[in-house]
Amino acid sequence: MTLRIHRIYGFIRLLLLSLMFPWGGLCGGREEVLAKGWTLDLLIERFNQYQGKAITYDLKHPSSKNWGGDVPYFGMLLNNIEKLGDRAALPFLEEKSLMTNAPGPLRAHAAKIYASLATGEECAALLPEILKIDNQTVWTAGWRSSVLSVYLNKIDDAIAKNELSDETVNLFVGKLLAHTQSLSVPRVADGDMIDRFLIQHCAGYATSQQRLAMWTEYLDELGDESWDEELREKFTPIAESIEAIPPRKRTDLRKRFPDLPPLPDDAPAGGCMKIAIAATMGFVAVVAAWLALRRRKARKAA
Amino acid sequence: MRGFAMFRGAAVFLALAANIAFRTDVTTAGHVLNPSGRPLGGAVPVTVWIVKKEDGVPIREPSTVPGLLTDANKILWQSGLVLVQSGQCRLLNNTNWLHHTDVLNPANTNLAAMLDTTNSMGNAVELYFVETLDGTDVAGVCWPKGIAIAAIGDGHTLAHEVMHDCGLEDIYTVEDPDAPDPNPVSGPVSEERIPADWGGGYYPPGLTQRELITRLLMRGGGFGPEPSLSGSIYLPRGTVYGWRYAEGDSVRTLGNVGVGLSAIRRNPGSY
Repeated sequence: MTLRIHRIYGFIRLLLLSLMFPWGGLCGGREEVLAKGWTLDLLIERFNQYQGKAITYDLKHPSSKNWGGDVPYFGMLLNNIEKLGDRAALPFLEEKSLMTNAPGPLRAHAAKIYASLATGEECAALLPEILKIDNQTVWTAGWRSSVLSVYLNKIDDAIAKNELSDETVNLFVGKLLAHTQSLSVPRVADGDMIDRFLIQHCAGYATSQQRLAMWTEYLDELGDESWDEELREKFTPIAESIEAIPPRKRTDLRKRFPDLPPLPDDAPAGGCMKIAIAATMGFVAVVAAWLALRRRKARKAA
Repeated sequence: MRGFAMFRGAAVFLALAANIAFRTDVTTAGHVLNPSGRPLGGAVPVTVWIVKKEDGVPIREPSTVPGLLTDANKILWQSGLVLVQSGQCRLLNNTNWLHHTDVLNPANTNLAAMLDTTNSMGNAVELYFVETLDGTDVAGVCWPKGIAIAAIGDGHTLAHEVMHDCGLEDIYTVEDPDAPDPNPVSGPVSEERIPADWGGGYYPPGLTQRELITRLLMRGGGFGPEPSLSGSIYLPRGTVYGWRYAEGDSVRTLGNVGVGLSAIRRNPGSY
């Protein structure tokens, strides 16, 4: 009995302690960071102050892609920013999330902390920008594989809670679709996650020509490494299931998203016109020649 | 990063008579250290394991691994070691092994499970490439079962961890890098602070102990205003005074740290 009473008292004490701190002092770590003398401004100042040195190191040593091994120091500054939990850090975190000369893992860290402090709407605005970075190869784009899942889950939750307007969702879906149709992107690194999101939030996508184009491109991009073979086996059924739908029944999402690029199977519109004009001109020339020949024959006969 | 000092001492130790060319002078920028410590045993086989991401692609491009070993070897020549890849890179199909937390905890079962993928019986260094180790806090970690390298790790990280495997400790320039006032090692270099290396060469007047530590391979954890960690490549002959973690301790204390050739206890190898 005494033990039980002690447990209840202990629980109440714990509850009161947690209420003492505005950010849930028991789990946030904000107080711990403040106690060490850090402020958000100081953390940002330190980051910006020393990043120049790190970037210079990478420039002088082209093989270095990790700021001369100093990522843990900058990561520590970012961790403290996360613990402070201050939304005023969002512009700074956005800048670091898109910083092309920062090491991928550090950029990913900044992007994930941004997501932890931002709303679903803010994540929906930033993700398309993130997807534009390091698109050269499947390896350079690897930094964002964990970022993508964090952002899509956050946006998914916001949609489920009706925190995003239809207009925002539509705009985001349009940008995501445009990303899947962009030829410069090694999409195999991102495709599966984006595909699942679009199936859920974009009507008609599952049977769309755009989805088929994306998966066809994915599969074409794969090489002959062992993991490529596994990916081919995993994703080929998706492409085959869309191919099984008669072409006329496949949705063309350009009706809803006019900014989407042409599909690979589209005959170029300008080309058709040129063919039509050339054919007409050719026909006219043949008729003219035939008439001229007929006249000449008639004159000779006369 | 601080190495995980849970080694299986004597059984692994090999007294080595190296037949390889071993350079006896290590020239740093401004002074010369004369490492005449115990030379190690030349070629060290390294088996490579790479964890695959959720999308099926390995976390590190396998074709870059030989370059990473070359970078590490450019540093490790001081110890007489040459890392040589043994066999092809092997891929690990377990996404639970992409991100590891609490990597210095000997009771970490997830990390232990990954490192138990194979047991080289000390005859090879097992190298595991993962995505993160304690977020972005750790670039590499050395356990008796193998060495794990995060995506932020490079050849320098590997060389540092291999020397942990040989028995060397971490040394730090500051007590707490996670504080606006980190409390750095103060004062100039002196004989008591580098007893085995004093007199080995010319030390620029005014060279501080802190500056000297930033040149050492076993320097742990970079600190913003100091030179980049990747430039810290030298192995002295003996101990060096600085901040260190005493065995089993979680706070740093000042003392002479085993960061040189004299601290080498065994050939690197995983279990």
